[in-house]
Amino acid sequence: LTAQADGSAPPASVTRFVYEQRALFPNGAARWKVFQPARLDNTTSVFILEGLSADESWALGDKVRVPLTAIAHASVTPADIQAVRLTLDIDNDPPRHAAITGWPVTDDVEKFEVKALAQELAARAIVLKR
Amino acid sequence: VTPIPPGFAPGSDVGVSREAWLLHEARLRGFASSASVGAQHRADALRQLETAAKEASVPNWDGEGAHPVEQSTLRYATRLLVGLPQGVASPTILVDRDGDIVFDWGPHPRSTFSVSIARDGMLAYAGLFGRARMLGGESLAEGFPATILAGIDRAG
Repeated sequence: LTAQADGSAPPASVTRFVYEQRALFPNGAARWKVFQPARLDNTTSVFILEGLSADESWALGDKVRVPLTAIAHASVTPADIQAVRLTLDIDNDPPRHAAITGWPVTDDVEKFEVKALAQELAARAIVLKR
Repeated sequence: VTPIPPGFAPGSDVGVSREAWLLHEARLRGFASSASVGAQHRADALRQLETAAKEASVPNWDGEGAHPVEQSTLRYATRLLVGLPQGVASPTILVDRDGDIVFDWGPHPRSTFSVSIARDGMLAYAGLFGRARMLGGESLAEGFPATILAGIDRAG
């Protein structure tokens, strides 16, 4: 599995912050949209929360998409990412940042492939509501 | 009739036109005037669609470069919603960053079916049912696809 840039072990999990209630199922689980890659770079931005307190974690989430407030976060392990044949790129830019990469580059016709992979990832995620 | 909201561009392909808006409103009035529970649920879903389209009617509505919902996308989404047979649950409605309208069915991540509706009526769908997957594309321009109903049914 992916080692960090400084050679240290990969994180136990990486976390995607959630900002809209509709991105969650009524039971609080993550919908596929939580892990959908961004239009601009086709990656899913995640953070490594290891060593942070709960308050510090939520404060980090609130900084990511100002002025939006994080309402939940969804965590997956590097093994989860590997299981769906995506990759984890730990760039620490900004600190604690990583990206889920390797999403298919699709045109309008094939976007269902991205949706299916995001569903697989969401099904493995552990969600914590604020 | 709900006033056409600011940002909905008359005659433009960017934003939702007066024509598409009035068509949507006419569908909504039809359902709202019916006394049946099913019709009321569908009217609620049309209102959710209206809200979602309004929220995403201008470029960069998500602050991350998203495309706005276009008039043809709202027309096709309305068509798909009102074309659902009676007894089929209404979906959760979202808007994608590329301006597609997204309908999601199912109670949890291992029983879910999602359809993205594009401006040209193309439907991109994916479902996860336990460990089984279902994905592909269809065109709404050719009628209501049976594949979509099968996916909704599997998601429960």
